[in-house]
Amino acid sequence: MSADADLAPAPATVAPKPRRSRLLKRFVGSKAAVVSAIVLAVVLIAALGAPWLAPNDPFAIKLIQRLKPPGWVNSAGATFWLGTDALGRDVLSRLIYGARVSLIVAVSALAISGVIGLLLGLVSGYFGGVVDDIVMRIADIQLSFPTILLALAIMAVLGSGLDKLILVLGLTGWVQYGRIVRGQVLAIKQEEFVLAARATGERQWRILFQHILPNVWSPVIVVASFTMASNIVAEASLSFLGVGVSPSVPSWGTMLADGRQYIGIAEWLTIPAGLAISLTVLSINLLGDWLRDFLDPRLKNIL
Amino acid sequence: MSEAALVAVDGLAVHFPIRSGLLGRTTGAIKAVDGISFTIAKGETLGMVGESGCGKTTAGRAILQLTRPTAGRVAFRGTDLVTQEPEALRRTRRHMQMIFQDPYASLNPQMRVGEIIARPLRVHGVTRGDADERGTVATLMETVGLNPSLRDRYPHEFSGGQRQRIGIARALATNPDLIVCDEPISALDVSIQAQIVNLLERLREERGLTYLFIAHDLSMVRYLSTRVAVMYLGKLVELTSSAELYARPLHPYTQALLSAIPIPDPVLERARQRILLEGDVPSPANPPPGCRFSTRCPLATARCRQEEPAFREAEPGHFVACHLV
Repeated sequence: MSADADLAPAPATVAPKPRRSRLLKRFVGSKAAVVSAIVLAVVLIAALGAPWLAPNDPFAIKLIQRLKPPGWVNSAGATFWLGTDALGRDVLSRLIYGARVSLIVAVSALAISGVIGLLLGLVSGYFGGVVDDIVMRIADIQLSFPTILLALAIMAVLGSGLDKLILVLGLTGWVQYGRIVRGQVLAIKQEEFVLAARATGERQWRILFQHILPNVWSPVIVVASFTMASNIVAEASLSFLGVGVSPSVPSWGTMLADGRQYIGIAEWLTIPAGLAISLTVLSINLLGDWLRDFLDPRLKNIL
Repeated sequence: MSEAALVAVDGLAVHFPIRSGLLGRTTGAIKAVDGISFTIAKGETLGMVGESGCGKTTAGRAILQLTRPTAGRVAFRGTDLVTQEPEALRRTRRHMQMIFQDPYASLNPQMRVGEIIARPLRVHGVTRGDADERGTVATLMETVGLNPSLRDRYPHEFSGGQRQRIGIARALATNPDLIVCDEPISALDVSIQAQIVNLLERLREERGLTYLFIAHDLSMVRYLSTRVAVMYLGKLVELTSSAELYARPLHPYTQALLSAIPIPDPVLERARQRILLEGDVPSPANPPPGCRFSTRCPLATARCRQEEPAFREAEPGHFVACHLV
């Protein structure tokens, strides 16, 4: 379809174009968004299909084949495209399995912090008063600690593990959502349509969840995309520091940590994991940028 | 008059605290509405006029308890709304609705039009079941001159006039007795204003509605209202029948307001004597002592600056607050 076809007035009988097709059209128009989506799709496929995609067992330790360079073929004929690590494990297989950990941590922590932040932000912004003061002071206190330091402290007490990592990142991440949702609610509750809902006789919780909540989604979605990226970095950092997932579990962070000692002689241990982290985070951020532009109401007419 | 009154407002006041300093101590109050009393009879339209910031919107909202009054009573159908329990008040809202000034801000942008109109029906259990609800929404949309097939559109797909019709349909949904119209036409194109005014007038006749019509356009109020109340800086200064007010305004402020209306006749218009008010409206946080209009009144005397005039019935049915009448 040519671009001109869109400018012609639509025949009266044809329903207006569904939002979905406009979204697709604008999406394809942005190269960065398309490339990011492809990168993320590859990561997602790797995470979901790890058992079938991984050429070798990522857990199998064979000291005899340790630190082999990329493309090495062992006596049984198995090819190690990205070489092996210090314990003779296949780097490519660990990289593929590592996507699982990264995505599980990022998405689960996002869900936890999103739900907590959304609820506290809504209640805090709408009801104000003492509730608002308490919630916001907790947020301030939490923000005064660097996230990683806070996570380190909690993990040191609770111990390490995937579930604890998710919990820690989820609990420390709510502040971002809480603040942005509260700000939105403060603005939206002054709108006349909220007053109209009150005049109608709607109950408070219906006003909050059915009239206000649908109007705060777009900034939340955008924050979610950025939090997801920072969660991936946080998981990698904590695992690198040894308080994240246990060292035997393949994750991009533990791979970086393990490979660090051999960086002079076996650079293939760190480069793939480092690239995976950077590319994934970059893609999520670019897609988040695009999403923010897409959801901006001022740009709606251009769509 | 009090027998047939649907609404009886007595000493209504709304003060907004001014907080300052670190601890947010109350250091004063904006007296947006400062003790107003009037009644609205069933089936009449009471026009309420005044400059921007005189408190007329706040008064309208306080009557519906959307802004809680600081003092006073609002008797609606014989019950005081100010002291009513929240749940009872919520149910009373079925009988009193509001039409808003801004047809863009008063409709939820994320809600379909059919949903916006159906909400009040659901809240008060007016309709039984989906089919009944759909039918009622369609009837309401037709009543206000909207095509019911547009029910699945979003508000941004409509023009200002159409949006105001949606707002009117929403207000009509529960078949209320009283509708507070808060400048419902001032945000619309002049060409659309007459349509909306005629629609409101037709609905009042057909449904026996009672309006509190808040406006700053005196000519529109004259056309619509049975009686007109004039507000200045949180107080009522004059209240009488529409014909009487326009023929024989007693308060100097009303006289000044009326002298500002252009006359659609070049000969008369040239002869029109305008009373130009000097200065600005004083701050409602620090109103002048005595008569509030004394700082701008061309006729003010020393007494006006010291003693506050009572709002009294100067002539039968003609209330005014001025020492000189």
